[in-house]
Amino acid sequence: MSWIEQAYGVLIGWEWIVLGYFLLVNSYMALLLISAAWETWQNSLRSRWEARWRVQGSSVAPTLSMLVPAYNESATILQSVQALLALYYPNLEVVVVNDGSKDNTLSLLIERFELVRINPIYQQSVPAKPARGLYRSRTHPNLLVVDKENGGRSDALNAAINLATGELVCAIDADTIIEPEGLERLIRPFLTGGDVVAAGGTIRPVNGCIVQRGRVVSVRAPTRALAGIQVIEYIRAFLFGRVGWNRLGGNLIISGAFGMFRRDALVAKGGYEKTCICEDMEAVVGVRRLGYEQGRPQRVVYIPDPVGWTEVPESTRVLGKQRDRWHNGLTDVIWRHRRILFNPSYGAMGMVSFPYFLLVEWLGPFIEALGLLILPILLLFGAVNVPFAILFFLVAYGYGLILSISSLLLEEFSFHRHETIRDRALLVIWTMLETFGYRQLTVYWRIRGAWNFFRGRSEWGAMERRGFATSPAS
Amino acid sequence: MTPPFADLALLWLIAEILVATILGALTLLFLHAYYLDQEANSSRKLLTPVRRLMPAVLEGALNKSVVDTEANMLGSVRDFTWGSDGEPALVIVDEDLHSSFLLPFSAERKVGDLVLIGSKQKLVTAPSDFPSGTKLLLALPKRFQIALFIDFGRSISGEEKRNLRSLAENTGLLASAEASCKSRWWWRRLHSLRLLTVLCAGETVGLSLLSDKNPLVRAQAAEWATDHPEPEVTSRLLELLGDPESLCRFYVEDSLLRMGTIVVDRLVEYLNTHSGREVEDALKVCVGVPSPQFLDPALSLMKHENPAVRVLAAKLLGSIGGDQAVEALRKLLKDINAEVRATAASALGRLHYWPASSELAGMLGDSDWHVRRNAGYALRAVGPPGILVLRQSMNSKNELAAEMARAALEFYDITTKDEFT
Repeated sequence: MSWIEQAYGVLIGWEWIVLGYFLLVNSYMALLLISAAWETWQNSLRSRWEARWRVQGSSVAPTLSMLVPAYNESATILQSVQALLALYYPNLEVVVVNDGSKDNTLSLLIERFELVRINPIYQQSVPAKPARGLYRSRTHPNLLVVDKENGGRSDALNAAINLATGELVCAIDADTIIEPEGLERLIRPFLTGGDVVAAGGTIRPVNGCIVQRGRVVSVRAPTRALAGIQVIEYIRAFLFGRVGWNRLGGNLIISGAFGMFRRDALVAKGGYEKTCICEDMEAVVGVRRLGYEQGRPQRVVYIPDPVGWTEVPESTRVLGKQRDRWHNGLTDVIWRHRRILFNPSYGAMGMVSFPYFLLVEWLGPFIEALGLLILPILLLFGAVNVPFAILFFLVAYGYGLILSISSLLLEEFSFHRHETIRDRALLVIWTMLETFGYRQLTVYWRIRGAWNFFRGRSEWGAMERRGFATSPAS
Repeated sequence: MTPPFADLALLWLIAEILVATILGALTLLFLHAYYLDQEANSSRKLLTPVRRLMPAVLEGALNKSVVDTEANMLGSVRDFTWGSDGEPALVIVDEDLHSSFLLPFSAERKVGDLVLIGSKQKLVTAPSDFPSGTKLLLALPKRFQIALFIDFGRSISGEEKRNLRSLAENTGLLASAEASCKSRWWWRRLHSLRLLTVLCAGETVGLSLLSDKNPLVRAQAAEWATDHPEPEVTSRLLELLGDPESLCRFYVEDSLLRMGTIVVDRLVEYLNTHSGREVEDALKVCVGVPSPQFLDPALSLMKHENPAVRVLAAKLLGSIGGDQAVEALRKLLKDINAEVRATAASALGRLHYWPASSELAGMLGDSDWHVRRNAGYALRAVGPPGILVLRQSMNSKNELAAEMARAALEFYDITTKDEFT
């Protein structure tokens, strides 16, 4: 057999692998979509006409601590803390950690909330850098501020966990805007299931929306392509990518921008891992893993309707760094917890959801990139039937489009955030454009992220914020 | 390469199906947006005027001047007329809404002398015994009626609530909700019961739903029970303390706490006759409504084999107080379980019981951090004798005790300052 024939055989074999992979991924996606649709429908039935005020006014409602790490957040910190203090929930404590900011974040907080230095007795339950000072607000006694040396997000969260007194802790980013009833909705899984250790809420990009006094008052689709496409990505990722997992082995990710844990479960796990740049995913996998290993509760639930709003990058440079970091972190978490993979002692997590994250989320960009690189070679050799290749591309593209539009449908039918036809039309346009250029860019960034992990390079990168759009009235 | 399973025709067919699905999904998406627009439109035009008049309806003060005043405020109402029999009649002449495809029936709807939409030609005379408020509501589509009742029901009480309930009775909404409570579908039972809960109604169905097979319905029934503290309801509610579903237990505890002292006798009886895990939840309720009547059960439960029960018994004793309670708490300071010891120390601090200072000082060197911290807090709380003991403990040979005594003396927090010093 000549080398040309051998190469031909390899290429044909590769195409079969790609085809098989395509079928595997799409089967996973179809299952997730069905599961998410069922879950969303059940959720809407459960919550219709529900008296959420009941939890607000209940003395048996679990106590909750919001953990807010802040590093150089002087531009938004006052507005964010004010919005958190105005959330509808009883027994709410807000723990802000000034993680060694170089700007005037701490002095702004001291001045605005009349902070007084205190000396509480507390235990270092999870490792964190020592606190330089602890403060409580005279005007809002449920506001506690920790001033500490810079140690990164995980370290700041651990410092907050040490001080938090709530049975539940909710980690958010300092610039996340939480809907007023979001917390009550997110608490619900903890009331419903005694075995729930963590719950996640949906995150939506705030770009393009109108924000007044720390509240999103008008939900609009972004007019800029990069932000618009990310809106579609977030809807798809959260609504069926995460809600769908509730019935298929449970989630492995809860967004660091809005996630709730039982404090004791997080403490038992040892808090957030400081050496991992994807600390939110690592915390969830770690808590679940410990649950399986020690026979403790380990269920993680995603709720589609509590919404936290966050700003997404509008430049390819920042977006690239973000995606690089995400894939770097994913690689790290999969490597740290590789023991779980296809291990039946970890139940559905080991047999279904962990393999998904490896085979689809992690491996996906590599397969896609190889497919894109090899296709021209195959065409050159005449190894591929051209009409077949075109149709295959159309089917693959069409399937992706159906998944995105189904997510949009699910979102709009269930929560109808975007009420105008203009906004929906914009979202459909962004959905159609996602495949051309944006998708290939994310493939490149993700491969770069994995490569950086293997080279031992991991860094957070800085997010450039444009600020929230406000109406003239504000 | 020619794939064996998918020749071009097959792939072409798949592509066509995908295109059709995408087009279908897009059509649905935009139809839904159009539906929402229309729904918002109908809600604004139909519900807003009635919502504005509802307070007057509930107070029984719906008269010409109220209607005239509101008419000037409402943009969507084009015309008001006054009924021939002296009853207020609301005529919203809006041809746009009449043509809306969403309201094919309600657009034609006419009840009594009240015509919501359409033209004046459709005005008919109402039976004279039909209350005007009922007419106002009957003219609305049912989903708007329910929305209105839920909205108003949650923010009113007393006489107004009773009026709202009788309005619901007149419109037939109560009967229909009670009938739906017997549906085989859990969500129908749940939603109907939610409406009945808001209206403080459903006496004929609520009790049986406390035994419903669906936990969400049982939890809702527990919420409903708050406004129906009859003996048979509270008895059934107490039985639900042992429910396997945590959501049900949450609502049962919440309802019992909201009922307050009404349930004390039954709780005492319950504690005397039960000993399983359900006692824990009952004790949580007792801590929320402390009464001297709980003393005997608490004294008995402080010897319970389950440490969680002993913790709650200590909390209950701490909230009852009195000689017998503090003596019992002093015994619990020597419990083998650290959480029980910590809770007992905390309870004694809360009662400012200074004679226990020496025992609390001994606990500053306990092996468990929580016990040490609570002992420190408690000593701060009992006042000067406690502070003195803390100062002495700073020189203790036991490093743990000395360190905690120092921390307790340095302790300062504006939220707990009053409580502990």
